[in-house]
Amino acid sequence: MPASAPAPLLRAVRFETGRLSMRLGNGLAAIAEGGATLRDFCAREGLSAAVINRIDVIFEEVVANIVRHGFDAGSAQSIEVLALIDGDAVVLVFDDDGRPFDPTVQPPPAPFTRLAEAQVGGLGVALVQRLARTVAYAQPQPKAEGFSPVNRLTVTVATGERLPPG
Amino acid sequence: MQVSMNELDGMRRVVLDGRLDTVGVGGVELSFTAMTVSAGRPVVVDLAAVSFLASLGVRMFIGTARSVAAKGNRLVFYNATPAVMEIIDTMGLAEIIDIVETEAEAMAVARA
Repeated sequence: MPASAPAPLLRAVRFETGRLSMRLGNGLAAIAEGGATLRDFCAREGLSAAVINRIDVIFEEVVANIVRHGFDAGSAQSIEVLALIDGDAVVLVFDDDGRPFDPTVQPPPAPFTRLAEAQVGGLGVALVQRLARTVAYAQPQPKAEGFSPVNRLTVTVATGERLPPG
Repeated sequence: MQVSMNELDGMRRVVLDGRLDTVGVGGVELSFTAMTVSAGRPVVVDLAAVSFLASLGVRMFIGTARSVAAKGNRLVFYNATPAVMEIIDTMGLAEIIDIVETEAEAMAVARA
């Protein structure tokens, strides 16, 4: 029996003015594909290079954490990502059906004081919290059918002054 | 993501090129560690072509700097782009590793 083609890692992309939604499959390549789409959206919305980089880093950290630690290898689990321009902020919503995980209650790494003592674990969560204006976690209500996320992480990022959309 | 090296005035110069994201770090970490830790002399690392830095890259920088220091040498980063420098500053990384602006400064610090 011929092997079935793997599901694409980036699917269900919807691009509208001020709003992007996409569903990412279970794989690190989804980060690259989804990240490029998100950067394109941010540039079209006139966000500065510095803000786009912050959003890019947050996206990378959140999605990589879900894929590496929240999903089972090779599973059909997925992440729905919504990016929304809301006044002077971008709202990023990450819904996933991986293992329950609330990053907002993780203890922050100790401040770096000496190279020999620097903590190298948990840096991703700390980086997201320092780059974002707000980070909130919730467990969404199960849906009757279709995709039923277990975790919802909502991150807002200040946009500062925006260029004219183009 | 690519890494290359050459010898420069008694020290090793390592050049990183690309995105230090999850995939990029995974592809380059072994080579980067080998080039820096096994140098047996001071090392300067050019970050001019690194367009993106996330936490796995920060972890790689800390681990490598620690290993080079354990061998009695210095590892100095330079030429970071604004995007990379913001992450370095946000994480407080400049408190524990050497990061300067130019190659000349990096060589002077590495030699000190």
